[in-house]
Amino acid sequence: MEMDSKTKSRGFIIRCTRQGVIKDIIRNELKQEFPFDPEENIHYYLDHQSLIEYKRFFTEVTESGAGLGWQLNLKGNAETRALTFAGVLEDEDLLVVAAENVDQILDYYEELIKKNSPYANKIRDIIQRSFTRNLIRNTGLPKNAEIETYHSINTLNNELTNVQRELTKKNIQLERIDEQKNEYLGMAVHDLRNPIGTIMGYSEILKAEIEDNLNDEQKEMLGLIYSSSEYMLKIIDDFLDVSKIQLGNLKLDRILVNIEELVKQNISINLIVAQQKEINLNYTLKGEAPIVMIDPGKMNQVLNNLIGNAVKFSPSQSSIAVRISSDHEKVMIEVVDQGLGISMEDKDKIFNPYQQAETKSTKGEKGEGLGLAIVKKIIKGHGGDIKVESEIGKGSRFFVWLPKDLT
Amino acid sequence: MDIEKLKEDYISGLLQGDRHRCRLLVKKALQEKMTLQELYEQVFAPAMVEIGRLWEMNEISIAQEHLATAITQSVISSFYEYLFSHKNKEYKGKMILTCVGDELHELGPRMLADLIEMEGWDVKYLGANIPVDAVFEMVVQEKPDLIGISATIEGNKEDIKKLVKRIKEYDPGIPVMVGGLAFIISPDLYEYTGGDFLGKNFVEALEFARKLAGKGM
Repeated sequence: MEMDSKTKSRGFIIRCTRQGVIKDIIRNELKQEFPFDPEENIHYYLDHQSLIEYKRFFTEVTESGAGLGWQLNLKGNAETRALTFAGVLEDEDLLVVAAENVDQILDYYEELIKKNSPYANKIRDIIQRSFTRNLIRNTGLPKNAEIETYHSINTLNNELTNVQRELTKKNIQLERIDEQKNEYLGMAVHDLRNPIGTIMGYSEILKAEIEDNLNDEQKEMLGLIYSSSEYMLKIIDDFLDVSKIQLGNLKLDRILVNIEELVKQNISINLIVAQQKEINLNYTLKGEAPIVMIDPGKMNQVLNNLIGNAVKFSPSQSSIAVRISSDHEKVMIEVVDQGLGISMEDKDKIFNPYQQAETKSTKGEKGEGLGLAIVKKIIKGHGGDIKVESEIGKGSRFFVWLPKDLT
Repeated sequence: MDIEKLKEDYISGLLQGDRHRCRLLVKKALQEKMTLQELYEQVFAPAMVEIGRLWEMNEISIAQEHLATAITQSVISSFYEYLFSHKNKEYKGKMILTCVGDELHELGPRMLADLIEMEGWDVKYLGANIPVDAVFEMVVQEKPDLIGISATIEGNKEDIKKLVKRIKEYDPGIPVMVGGLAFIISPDLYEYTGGDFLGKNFVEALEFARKLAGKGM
């Protein structure tokens, strides 16, 4: 569009009654040719043909609220001029904007909007309504269908964005609350650790010193005090691990470790329970024994958890296979059991803290549901990952991989 | 950072319907330490005014105009994570911000909601086309410390007046801030609809919110 400043806003804006009587002259850059008198009727300036056109223009404005692009011949002082008319209803009156062409009417709009004039709003109304009507004419759609569709999509999009905003906000609030919860949990659990340590320590001393003087029932009770406190201490240590790890305090002391030795150690720890349940616990190594830079204590926790769980949840007379293999990038450790298996639904949950699959252990062992969450954090901390494949009734296969890259 | 250039690039991305480019431009600007307020005031707001102008001039289609709006909205929503985790930790109060009128021009109040949120407010943004009754219900439910009403067209003045009146009847103590294009174009509108404050732009609206927060609400 040409934007010659000299041609800007050359026309007039007047307000007249529905009968055509000029009530107000808002702008008139053509007053030398058309010195309107507020008492006069606009009809006076129109030739016969234009008067008929004006009536049609008037009908369009009254029926649809606005009209744009009407060519009318206006009789001036010197000569008759063809001007482009636009109009909009303003309460009971008609606001008429006229200029040489549509672009100049748009120039009026630009100028008025810069001045924050209320008339800019009116011209905007004209333009929007008229263009919308043209669009409908051009597309041949039923009245307003396209516009309404766009508006509906836009409304839906706005609503979705609002929901997204609320959800993101809630999510961040929840993350904060979760952090606080872990902090409190860490503190509370830490406070519990000392008294339980005392109970465990003293019951151990009692067991050693006075066990000979006790009858069988008393011995059993003392034994239970000791084993229960030992169990509680383990839970508390797990809780402490989780709350520390979730707060981002997972500290790894990495050294070069032969994975095979670590696995063998863990197998021998779990062998006694396995033998009691007549479980066949076997181990295979494919290729060379991989040596990786890991935290042996933390990785010990991982292996003990995976192998211990397999033994705990496997039925007697089944077998468990622990396999190590490696390629040039990574070390893989698999623990495969023939236990009860994990449902699809639980597969996603078992790595979350405080969640345990519905599966009951074979001997009713207690589980606090933290083990696998810790396992996953530790493995992730080493740059690796853990996955599980399982089939109900057939068994599970836990699959851990660790990167070989030491950097 | 050349904001003028960024604005031009952003507008050209919008006109080409290239939301990835728009997102990248903005992401880069944020990485170069541009603030959300600068981005909203000096890039998004003028870009959308330009898009609106092009549409009114019939230089772009209604489809392009809608797409540009949707892209900007999607770009804004990609900061939500950043916004809510970087907002001022000191709680300033709860605000309900609603937009009376057509939903094509609701990006302004949407941006204001985020800017006030950033200061430490909890802003519930209701958007456009929400009936007066529903807004009022939300006021009763949420008990906000501040209510903002934005309008783009004067045609909605009766609804705004009604809403302000109902809020004041319910609790005259809740400050009501009004704003938006309609109030700028029609200077008499503020007096007609009522309200406690007219925020003519982001800066004025933010200052009003700050003053309220300073009163220890």
